[in-house]
Amino acid sequence: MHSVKQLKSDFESHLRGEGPSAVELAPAPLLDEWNVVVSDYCGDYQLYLSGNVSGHPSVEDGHCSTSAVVWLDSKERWARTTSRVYRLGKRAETAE
Amino acid sequence: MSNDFEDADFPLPVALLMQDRWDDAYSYLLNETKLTLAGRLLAMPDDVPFDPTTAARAVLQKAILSLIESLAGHGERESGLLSLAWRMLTVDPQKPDTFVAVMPPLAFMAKHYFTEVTDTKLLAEIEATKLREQIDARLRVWWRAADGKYKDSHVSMFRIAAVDTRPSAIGIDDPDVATDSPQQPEVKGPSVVVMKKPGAVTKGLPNDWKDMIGQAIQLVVCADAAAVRRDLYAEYPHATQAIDLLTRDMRDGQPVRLRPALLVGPPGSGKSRLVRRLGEILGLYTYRYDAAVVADNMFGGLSKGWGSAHPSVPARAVQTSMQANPIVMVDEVEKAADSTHNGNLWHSMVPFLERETSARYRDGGIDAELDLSHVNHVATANAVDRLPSPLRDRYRMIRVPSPTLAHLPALAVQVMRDLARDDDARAHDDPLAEDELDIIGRAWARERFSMRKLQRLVAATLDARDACAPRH
Repeated sequence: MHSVKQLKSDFESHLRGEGPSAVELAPAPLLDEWNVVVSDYCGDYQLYLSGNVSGHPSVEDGHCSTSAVVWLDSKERWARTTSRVYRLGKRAETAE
Repeated sequence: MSNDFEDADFPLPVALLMQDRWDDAYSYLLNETKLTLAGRLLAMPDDVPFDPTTAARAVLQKAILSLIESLAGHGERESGLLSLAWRMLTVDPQKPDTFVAVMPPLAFMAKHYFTEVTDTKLLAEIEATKLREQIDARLRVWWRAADGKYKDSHVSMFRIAAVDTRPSAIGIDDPDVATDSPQQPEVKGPSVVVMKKPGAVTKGLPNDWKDMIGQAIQLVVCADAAAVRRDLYAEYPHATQAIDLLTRDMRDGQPVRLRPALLVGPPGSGKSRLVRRLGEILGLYTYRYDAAVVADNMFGGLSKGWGSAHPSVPARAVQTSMQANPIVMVDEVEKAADSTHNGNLWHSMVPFLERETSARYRDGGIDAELDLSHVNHVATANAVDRLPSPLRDRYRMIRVPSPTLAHLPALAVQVMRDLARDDDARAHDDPLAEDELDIIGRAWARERFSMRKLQRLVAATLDARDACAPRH
């Protein structure tokens, strides 16, 4: 898990229109056939993604759900969650 | 009201939440954009009209979208904020997908970019706190829209949020969960007092129930939601979507709280076992109530007048487990229709599914008021058409499909693991060979891919293998 400080500085760079650096993006896990999930814990909302992951450092390849998304690239090529960056593959055909 | 907040010290997109109408948000943002661009000697694109009502909707939408793009490309923080703010004007409650790129950064900023007011004047501090609450309330309405709760609405998101957060519209806040209880220091972590006061009649109440009076009862916490999902995916590779839905509201480090869920799927798809496994992984007690078998309707509790007292099923689940949030699973809930008693089962389930009524449930069985609002309710059904809609509406419907042949290798591994756990002699079996899987697969298809049948098929295959193996 990144520190809030680190997360904020990444967030700031995205505000300036910058994506994750090549160094960060290249080894990032790939999430394919992904869906968007809105989660509600007693009014505390989060959005996360679920899909087929590959190349994740601590999760086996296969279906997986991410931690809360902080920034989703407008062209849906990558997403930053509170713990890491994912490269995004194809979005799943049917939402939920 | 929006004007009071223009100077407030938080980012533009968050400030924009306080606009009551789309048109207001538009003019406010147009003005901000012009100012920012002028400061950088940049011209405002001239296809963005001053008065949005003069342009055709499609033309306006296109102009806004190109403005979003160009602002994002400036490479500056200020224009990035503007770009995000303009994106908020493109959301459509009828299309929840339009919120996807907006909500994460908006929520992040609302949470992390709010400067604490250090004003010495108390008044300013109170105002700031109030404002913060209003922003959070509006943000929650936006989230609900992102979750598809306003698909039938025909007004803008700004209007919806303004109307839904009017003082009269804000519901009673969730009563706080006591994080520590002075009387019962032995309960670590979050807990809740289920029976606050003794009932009218305490005489004759069994001791284990008497002990609950004033006692803080533990709320089971989910340590790592992603890990729980991972375990379940491995065991139910055919039901990943169902698992996502069932567990979507779980939060790391928070008490487990599932929205009432109704798992619907063909017999043998593994619905009940999935719920039980979820409970096991979480360390959460699962109380199973079989609607097809139990003929007497005691779900809601039965008063003592009838010989022996019977507390309600959720109360019994809490008392047995000494957990305030166990899972109560009503199996084959639709089967209740076959028995005349059971119109009543459905009827008596409804109060437990509502937070307001379950938080103060008058349990006839023990004649006391209980807070059963933390109990998690899951039901299973093969079909739902017979369920009355008052019941159906209170559940999140989750389809559990049957597995297919493609899932066989993964499922067979799980079945073998289960068998090995029950029987030491099976602990060192070789994995199933391709030809064995092939035979199992064909037999399994005839059994319509039932999870139960698969277990028997795998066991039979291993037995046959033993019988043929040369003896040592």
